[in-house]
Amino acid sequence: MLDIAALTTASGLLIDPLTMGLLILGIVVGLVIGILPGLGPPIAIALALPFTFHLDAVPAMALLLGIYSAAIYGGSISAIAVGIPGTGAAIATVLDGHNMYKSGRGGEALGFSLAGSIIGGLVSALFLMLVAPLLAGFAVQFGPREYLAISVFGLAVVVRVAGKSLPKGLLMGGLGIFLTTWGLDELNGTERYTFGSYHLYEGLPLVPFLVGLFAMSEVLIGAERAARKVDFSNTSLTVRLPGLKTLGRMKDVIFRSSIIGTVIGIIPGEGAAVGAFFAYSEAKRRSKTPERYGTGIPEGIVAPETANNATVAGALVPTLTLGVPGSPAAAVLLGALLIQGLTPGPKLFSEEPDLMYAIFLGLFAINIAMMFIGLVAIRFAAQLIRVPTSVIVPTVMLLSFVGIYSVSNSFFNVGVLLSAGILGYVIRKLGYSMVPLSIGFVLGPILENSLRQSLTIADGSVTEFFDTPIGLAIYAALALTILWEPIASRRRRATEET
Amino acid sequence: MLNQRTANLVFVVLIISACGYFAYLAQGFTTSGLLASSGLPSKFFPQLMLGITAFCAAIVGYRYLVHGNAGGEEDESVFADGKEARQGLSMLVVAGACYSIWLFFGFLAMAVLLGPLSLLAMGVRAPSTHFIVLFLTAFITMIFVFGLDVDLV
Amino acid sequence: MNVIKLIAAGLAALGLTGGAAFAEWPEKPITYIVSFGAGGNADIVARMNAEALSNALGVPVNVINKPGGAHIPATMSVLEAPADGYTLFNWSPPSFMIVPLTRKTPYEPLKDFIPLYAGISASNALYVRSDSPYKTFEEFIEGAKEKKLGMGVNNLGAPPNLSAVQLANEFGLEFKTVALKTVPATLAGLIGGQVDVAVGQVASIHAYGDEIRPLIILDNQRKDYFEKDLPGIRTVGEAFPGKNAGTWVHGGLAVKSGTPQAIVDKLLAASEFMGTQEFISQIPKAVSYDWTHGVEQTTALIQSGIDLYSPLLDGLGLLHSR
Repeated sequence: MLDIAALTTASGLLIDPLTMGLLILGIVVGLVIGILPGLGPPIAIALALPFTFHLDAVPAMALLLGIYSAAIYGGSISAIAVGIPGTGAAIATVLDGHNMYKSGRGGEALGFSLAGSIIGGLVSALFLMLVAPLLAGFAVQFGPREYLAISVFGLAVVVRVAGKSLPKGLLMGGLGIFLTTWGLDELNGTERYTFGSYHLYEGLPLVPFLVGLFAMSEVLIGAERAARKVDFSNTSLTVRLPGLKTLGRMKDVIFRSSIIGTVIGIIPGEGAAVGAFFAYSEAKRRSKTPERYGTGIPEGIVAPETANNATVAGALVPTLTLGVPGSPAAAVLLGALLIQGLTPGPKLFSEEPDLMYAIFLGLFAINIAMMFIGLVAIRFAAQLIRVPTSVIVPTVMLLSFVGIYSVSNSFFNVGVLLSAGILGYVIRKLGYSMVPLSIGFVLGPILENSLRQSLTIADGSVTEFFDTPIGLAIYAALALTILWEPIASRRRRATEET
Repeated sequence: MLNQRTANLVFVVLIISACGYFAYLAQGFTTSGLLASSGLPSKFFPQLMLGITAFCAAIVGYRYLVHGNAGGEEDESVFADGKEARQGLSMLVVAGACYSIWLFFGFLAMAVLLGPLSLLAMGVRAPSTHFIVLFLTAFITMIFVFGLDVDLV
Repeated sequence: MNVIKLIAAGLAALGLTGGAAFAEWPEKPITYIVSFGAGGNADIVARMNAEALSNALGVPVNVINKPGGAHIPATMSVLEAPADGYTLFNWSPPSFMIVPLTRKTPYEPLKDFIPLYAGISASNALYVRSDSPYKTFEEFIEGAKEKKLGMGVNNLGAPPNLSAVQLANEFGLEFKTVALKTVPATLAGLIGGQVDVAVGQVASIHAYGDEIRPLIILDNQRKDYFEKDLPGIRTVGEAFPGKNAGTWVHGGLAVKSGTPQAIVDKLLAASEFMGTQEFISQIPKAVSYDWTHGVEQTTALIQSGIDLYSPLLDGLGLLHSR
């Protein structure tokens, strides 16, 4: 399975001062851009794309993959320290990460997220190096019917992260999915809720909506509480990486989240946000104390953080082996490969084994380097709690405004940011959770399109509709997880009574 | 300050009316030509989601009406006190104002006013805070204009 | 920055700077609007164009992606900006042809824009899986008459879909059309068995080689680059004289109408490099390139596309009545 000769050549290509320098530069740039609200991994990679015109394939990929991994990780730093996910991938991290930070354990929370990210990145890179060619066959099996099954599974996740009140959570989930139907119907071009404005033809843009929901509502709530004193102990200022013993206790969560992240990454079109949510909800479901999730516990940080970084290597599989990007960021990476004169597709692995191994080895190196660079970054982040709210509020508002505007020079998107912020503020004040709203917003388009495409493929036949072994396996797993909870609780009660 | 029950009941009524309105709008979707015959009509999915949303809203409303709460994670009342309500809502106005200033008078005007206006909304007068915010504003602007080559207008 | 513009406008009004303001173009970074997402073929070629322009003009040319919304938000963002040569548009068949032909748009491509050149191109071909029972185009026609086959295209209303519809009309066939978003995703869907047959690009063969089999090129006449990608594969016009199959896929650069001639000339001079062998040799293998340079020439090319697609869309009941 492992081509030793290619592996040796690949390490030779990587251990080159220029390549290593670009790799580290990529991590630093990615980290900064990931922390800024609105500027996620795709825009970070696109900004660096022109520089790769003049580079060879391996240094170019080292630079871009460094940016990609670090931008996904960077999003979680602002998620924990300010409660604003810098990228969609970090939404699930806000739940426990920010609560832990606010309860005076900021240094610890940041340490958990760094450790989780690094482990997730390493495990998935290793996994892929061993079996990537086999996984290509898996990725190609995913069509509309399989996406539909995954999205239906995703709805179960919405229920699980709904917060304390199920109807309130479902209301938000439904609203989130509904809002994604705005704009031109992707399948037939019908205008839906465009209100006569061509700005709405593309619908409500994802990133401005999410950043508005979290960042602008945080700004408004922060403004209310500007006068309140923030309690923190000096111990929270010290960054602590979790020890091996602590991680050992969480090894099941870490292992499962790595696998979930890798697999979700492989499925084209599903991104880091979905992977993180799936891992979070799975960890919560398996936990003996699910009610503690969301209050600020280490597992609630480690699960999504491990998974979102594991999606990076996963997303490379369809990108490299099918030419179909596994995530928006991977789409830009694909472009970089095209510029290099390479043609991602089933033949790339056999034609360019050195490059493929250099990419996976590069991911290893990136994750190890990111541990050190990340430690420096989170030292600063842990100090942010000293900054008075009155300074954070205008700064975050300006950052969100400029960050969102700069992605496509669009005032309309800033307007969406503002409106989503008002929506987020209102629902938070009324005791609704923003998480089901945002996961609904992420899953909505996949759910609708896969449902409609599946119906077209089935052409009225029920057997054809369910003629999908992978889909059926996913439905079965879903049925099991739904039925499992009542069975398990009944069993627990039975043992308690005896 | 503003009872959660009242506020939530108003919200639920708003949501249900909005659902009705959007479902009505969906009836008017028209698909052109040959594409219209392929698959589910465009109005199906939004209407389905509106139905689910309105149904959940009805349950939430019922719970507030009968039990006085819906088991969510809200505080006792919507705002802790009058001062906090004032600060939050003035910040909302400032955010909207800054957007309009940017739109009509350009980025620089917005960036210069954003700090003082938001500090005013929060009732902060300390000159040191004003200075720090101004410095951060300049710093962020520099990063985007010179670091990321963004054409801020 | 508006303040600066205001002062500049004031000075110009006072006659202090006169016409000299334009002579110095370009003096600040130029924005290059692309109506596709980052990373696809169109975006890659646009970025290569932007780099070539930047080298020739000596200022940064920044690519901004505004995908989606039937390309209208991207197109309009160019028209909302002043006609001062600092906002360029990457025009493409959807934004300049199919969308304005099929729906009411707030712009008219050839009236509101000046097209300068066309570079990226594409021709469509019909593919099946390599283990498909259909070895030839004729066998496929027979098979498609017996059973309603699943047809993969990227987007409904896009050139591959129009090719498929034209094929169905000309040969009396019926398909279950599944839109899979992008051309690579369509071919991956074909390999994965989501559809029985798919419309891809002629150059797609380089990525999928042994996994897919080309049946026919969906075009009337042979173009010289076909031989490089699909040697020995016939076009519809060659296999069945009299049957029609036309694709028109070109893309390039346009500026807003009213842009001063001096700036247009400078842009034309700066883009000359894109027609040289040195530039073309850097274009990725999976992209076809067909160079047309000059305002008149490019306008004529676009008009030929409008003439091709109008009757086709009319036949489908999709043509928007103006």
